[in-house]
Formats: sequence, C-alpha cells, structure tokens
Amino acid sequence: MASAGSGDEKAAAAAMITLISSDNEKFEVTEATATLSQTIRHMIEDGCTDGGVPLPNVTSKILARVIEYCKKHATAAAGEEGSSSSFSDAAFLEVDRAFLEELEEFDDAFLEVDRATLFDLILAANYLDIKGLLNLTCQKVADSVKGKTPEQIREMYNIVNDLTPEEEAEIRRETQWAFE
Amino acid sequence: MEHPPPPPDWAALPTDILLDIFLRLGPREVMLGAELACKAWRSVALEESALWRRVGVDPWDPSLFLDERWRRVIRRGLLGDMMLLAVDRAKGQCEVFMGYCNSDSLLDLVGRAPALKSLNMERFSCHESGESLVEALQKLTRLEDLEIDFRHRIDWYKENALQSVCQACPRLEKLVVRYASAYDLERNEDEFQKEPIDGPIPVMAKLHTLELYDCNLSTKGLNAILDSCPLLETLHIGGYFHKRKMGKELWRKCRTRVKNITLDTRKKPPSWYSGGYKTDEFYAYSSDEYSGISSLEEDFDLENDRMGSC
Repeated sequence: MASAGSGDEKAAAAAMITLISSDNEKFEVTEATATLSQTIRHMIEDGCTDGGVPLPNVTSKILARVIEYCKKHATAAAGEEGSSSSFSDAAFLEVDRAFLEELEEFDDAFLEVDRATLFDLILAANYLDIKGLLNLTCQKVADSVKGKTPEQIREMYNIVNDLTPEEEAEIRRETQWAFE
Repeated sequence: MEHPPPPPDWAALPTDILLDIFLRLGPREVMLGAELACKAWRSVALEESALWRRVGVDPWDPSLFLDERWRRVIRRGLLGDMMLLAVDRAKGQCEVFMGYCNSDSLLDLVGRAPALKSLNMERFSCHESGESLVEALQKLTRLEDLEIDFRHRIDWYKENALQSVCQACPRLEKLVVRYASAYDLERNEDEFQKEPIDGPIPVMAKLHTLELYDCNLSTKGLNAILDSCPLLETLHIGGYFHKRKMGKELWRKCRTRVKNITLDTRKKPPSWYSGGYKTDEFYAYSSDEYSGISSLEEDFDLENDRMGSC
C-alpha cells in the first residue's frame, strides 16, 4: 500500500504542464495546479497538452497571478481530501480551521490589486473557467459597487454614460427614485 | 518603452459575468445604482429575468438607514412602485416576494407574479372582510411558504383567518401568521381581542412549520391543528392559551407528534380586567397562570404538581 501511494505521488509530481501566455512566456505547473482550471482539465483529458498549452487571451503578468492563486488553492484542495479520511479529532479540526483562515487571508491579500488587474483577472478566470477565482473577483466588484450612486459607479470604473437623452427621460419616468 | 495598455472597458464585460455580479448585488442594489451606469449594464439588468426572481426588502437591514438612495425612495413613497417594477422584470417568474401589502396591491402582485413560492407580507391591511385576501391567495397555486403580519384585525364572514388561509393554500409547507392585536396594545379593550383559533382546519398535507402569534388558542383548536397537519414538525404559538385545560392526552399528543413546540402563551385574563390597573385579583392569578415564556415540559410539570397536591 505504502509503496503504491508513493508511486502515485511520483507520477503526480512528474506530471507537469506548460502554460504559454499571450506574450510567449512559459510557466511550468503541476497538473494539480493546472486542473483548477476546467478549461485546462478538459484539454488534459483530451490529451492535447503536449508541447504546452497556449493561452492567447492571458498575459504573462496575469497568468503569473492566476497560477499563484491556483497553487495556493490546489494545496487547499489536497489538504481537504487528506483530512476527510482518518482524522476527526479536535486538534485536527483546529489545524483545518487555521488553514482555512490562512486561505481567507491569502484571498484578501490576493485581491489587493488595481482595477485594471481585477478586470483582467475576471476575464482570465472566466476564460480558464476557474470557479473559485471568478467568485472571488466578482464578489470584489459587487462589494465595491454596493451603496454607490450611478455617478459614483461610473467614476470608479471609468464608465461613460452612453444613455441617450430619450433613454434618460424614459428611465426618469420609470424609476423616479433614482434621481435627485 | 512599452505602451500602457488601454484602460479596461467595464461596460463591455461579458453578459454572464455582469449577471453574476448583479446577482450578488440583488434587485435593490441593481435598481438604485448599477443598472443606471450605462446602456450595457442596463440591458443586462432589464433582460435577465433570473435577476428578479427574489424581490424583497429586509426592513431590519441596518445598511438601509444610512443609504441616502434608499431614503429617497422611502421619502417619495415610491417603494411599492419600485418593488412592482422589479417583479415585472421577472416576466411572471418571480418566486419570492417580501414587502408591504394591502388587499388591493396584493391582487395586483398576484397577477404579476403568479408563480410565487414564497410570500411574506409586512403589515398587511385589508378593508372590511378578508375575502380579497383569500381570493388572491387562491391564485398562487405554487405557494409553499406564507408569512402574514396583519396590521388590523379583519372581520371574517364565515371562518376565522387560519381556516380561510388554509382553505386557500392547502399545499403550504410553512405558515407564519402574526395577528393584529399586538398593534393595539395602547387600547386596553382591544388587547384581549385576539384572533380565536378554535375550530377545525382543512387537512394541510405538506405543512411542516406553523407559527401563530397573538392568537387565542383553545384546546379544540390545538387538537384540530395536530389532527390536520400530519407532517408538522415545528409549532410555535404566542398569545392566549389555557394550558391547564390541556390534559395529559393532548400533552402527550403534542410531544409525540411535533418535534419543536413552544407555547409562549398565558391564560386569557377575565373580561372585567381592563389592563392598566393593578388589581389584587389579577396579581393573584399572574404569579403562574399568566406567566410568559416557559417550555411545554415546565408548564406541564407545574400543572401536574398542582394537580397532585390538590
């Protein structure tokens, strides 16, 4: 049993995937890290990852951040699988809780980015289909918009008010609460 | 030197991402801010009916009191219009509604949201009899969860409120009714006019939770509830109930049939007692029979002790 386990581990460690950013930078990651992306998981399943996975929609700057996120969360996923097997005592739960807290701290720190980076992270998470990262980044936008007036939102996100005077008039009729 | 990349175009976010963000914001936030930012954001808000399935305002949400946008809605008396517009955007698919209603606006709401599964009416007011309420509820054939907070007492022609509501919605899984007398506390004579829960009710085959507050429950009424609700798991009663009349059999029935039961009740004071005056007679009773919160067991033990010592 033990030897089979370590053999599996070796196999997993050996399975490295190369990701290639839009500006041609190569990133070597483990399969466990890469498969947090459903898009890449499907490519691996279809056996089309030899010679690297080109990601023409993701720059090296953003891909580096995305990999940072996936590495951290892949360890978390592995930890969860381990914990469910044999340990259930209080001490272990304590370790588990500490780890979840650490993960939360990591996420908070990870989101400390400017709005342009946040925007690119959302698009990358969407393209690579990384659910956790998409949740995290969309929630960040939602939280930042909460309680804000339309003008404040436009200013914050550099959005041009492209509603025509006719549309504005109609909105005024329909949603009188929205105007001073 | 590299050229700085063009600033991101937040207006051009893919629709499913915007929808994800808007779902996190909920109807109120979208209507007060996001949907008015630009054309693209507005069209996502108007076209995605999934965004409007759950319409309601939690009146206890502390952030509301500080929100100037929200205060403007209330100041101008536009809350009802705003909520109906939100309901309309679900294109008939609104499933959850929570808000203020009267009998007229309820009929209007039911017409616009016939697929409601959950309805929570704050301070419901109804002119004259409760017929319009019954008429509206009958149209909600998918309703599972109903909460009514009555603003005034309603004079029912035939049955009482509980019977009428059960008749109109036999498929309910959860029913919470707060009767009106709580709002008449200053008017002493009315405090004791609590809604009677006395007669039989129709069979409620799916009901697992029943909460009735400020009612006047009789043992007959309690028996009828237990007999007509085979799946009942939770029963909370507030108001008047004469526990001493309950008897061992009914008590046992409560314990075996219902997992969670609280009778936060007191015995109905005699009719000559008008409140406000501290009469000796009242305090002679109040030491135990009128006491407030206690568990069913405690009450029953108390009764047993007393019966034993008699």
